Amino acid sequence: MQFTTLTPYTISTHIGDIVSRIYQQLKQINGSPNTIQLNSKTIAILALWAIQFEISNKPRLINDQSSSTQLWGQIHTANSVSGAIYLDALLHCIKVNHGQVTGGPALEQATMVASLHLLHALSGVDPVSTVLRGMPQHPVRISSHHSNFRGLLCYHTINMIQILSAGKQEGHSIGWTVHKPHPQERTLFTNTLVQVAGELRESQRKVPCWILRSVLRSLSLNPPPPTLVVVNCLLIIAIDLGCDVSSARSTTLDQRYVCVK
Amino acid sequence: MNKVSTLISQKLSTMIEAANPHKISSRRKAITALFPHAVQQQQNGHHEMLDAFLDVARASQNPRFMWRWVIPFFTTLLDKDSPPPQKQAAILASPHLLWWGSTVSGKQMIRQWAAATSAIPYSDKVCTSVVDTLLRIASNSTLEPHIPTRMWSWLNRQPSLPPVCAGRYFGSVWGVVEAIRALAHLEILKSYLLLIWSEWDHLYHGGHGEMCTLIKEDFGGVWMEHHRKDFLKHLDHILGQLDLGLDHLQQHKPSLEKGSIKRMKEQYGKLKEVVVEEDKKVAMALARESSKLIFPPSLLTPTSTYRETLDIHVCHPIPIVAGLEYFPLLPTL
Repeated sequence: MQFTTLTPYTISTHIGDIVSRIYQQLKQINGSPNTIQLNSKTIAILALWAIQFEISNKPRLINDQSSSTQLWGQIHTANSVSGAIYLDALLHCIKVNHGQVTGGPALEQATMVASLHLLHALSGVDPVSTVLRGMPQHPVRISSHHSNFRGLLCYHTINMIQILSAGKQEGHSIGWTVHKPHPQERTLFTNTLVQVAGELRESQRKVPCWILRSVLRSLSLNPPPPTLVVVNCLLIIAIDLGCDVSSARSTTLDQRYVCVK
Repeated sequence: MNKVSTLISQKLSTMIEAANPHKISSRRKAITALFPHAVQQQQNGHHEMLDAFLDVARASQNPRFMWRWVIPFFTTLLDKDSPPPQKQAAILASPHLLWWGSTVSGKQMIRQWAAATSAIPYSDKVCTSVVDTLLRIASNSTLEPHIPTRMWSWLNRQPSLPPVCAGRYFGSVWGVVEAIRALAHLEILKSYLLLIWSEWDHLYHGGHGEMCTLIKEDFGGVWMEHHRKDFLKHLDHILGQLDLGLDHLQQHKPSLEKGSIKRMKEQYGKLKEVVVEEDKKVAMALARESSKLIFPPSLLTPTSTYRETLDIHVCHPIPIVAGLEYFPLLPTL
């Protein structure tokens, strides 16, 4: 089990304040010294707690047994606003040790899902609309962090979120040549893009250029990317061409599920 | 994967059958994104996807169909170490790529492309693509100087260019006519004219003017009679096709307009006039001079440059003298 050190003075932002308050409460309960050793699962729960506080202003304790299910459920049902909060909280938890990535696999996965969820929400948003401008400042705050998220499973996705949340039109500033994610991240990343493309298609909108550029880049890789990435890319192309991919998609989703698991 | 591939292939076939260039062009980015996969499939022995890609690109009638972001991948296909099937895919797709723009390193890419053309087996499709691309590249004054001279000999093969052919359209600009004239190779120049003159495209104004001039200057004289005959035959065919009317031509090229037909009739009519005029001039001069058995050098030497460079005939300025000894190949009068 990996551990990370949480210290109050490393947390300065809004979510950080909440986590800091929780830390103070924990300190009062446990009578701990200045630092508390927390495992990644606890941090994830802490983040969820902070998020719930942010959303409902009513923090409540979550017991350990149901926390995992609740965490994932919460993340999956989050909208773009709460998705941003999730990610911010998770990143705060994961980077508390002066920029070193010390979160455990559970936390990394939670961050990955939150990143993809936020990416999903951002991708569907017209970059020039006020919806994005009206978003909370969390994505901007992510970019202002001094922490280095290199080594994190969702590093490239977070970069993408930063670029997209900066409101660049058409995503022309996305440098795909430096986008070399881990195969698992690439698979999940393209999986999210398939969902985005599908939803845009349902709302009679075109697939954004940056997604198609991502597809082009992925299919151009030498050696070729994993089969699941190729399938995802072909699905995006098929969706943009107006194909009915429902049958093909259900088959590939099953394959993906097995792979990710 | 096969299921999705099949779906895409079916969709592309439907798009080609629908023959709606505008609709195809609106999806050019997604279709371009498919290109690397189609090449990969071809390498594995399945060429259907690449064929579908090329067919739909052609059906788009869009000279810049392929998205510029494909260029880095396209360049890797032309690499000297890449296998012939990849090079062939790049050559076949090259007419659908915009060869000029900020992302193209023109000189290197043209060099790679030229080298790749000689590294793949010859076929009619390859020849058509090479000539189409060659003319497109040549129409850009920045890129034209980078074309290796040997590439122009592809024109001599005179491939059958499709009704919608950006190379033929852009290839009639003044700069291309000039560049080919500067080669001082009569056969290439003739092949070029026979390729460019077509019932499917009008000619650029500057290029048309230059063509009228070169017919007089380069294809004038007795010795050029057989070339002029070929020109007349070709021009008559074009004018005959244009006389069939817009509806007939639109079956093969829906984007043709009435104005274009009118303009083409004028342009090709004018070219025919120039050729006929040149024939008449020669006939008259021959008749005039027949009694003296003297032919002025201007009738016999279109340009000394061709003869010296190409070693067809060495024909230095000939003194006007009476007698047949200087003209052993004179036609019977």
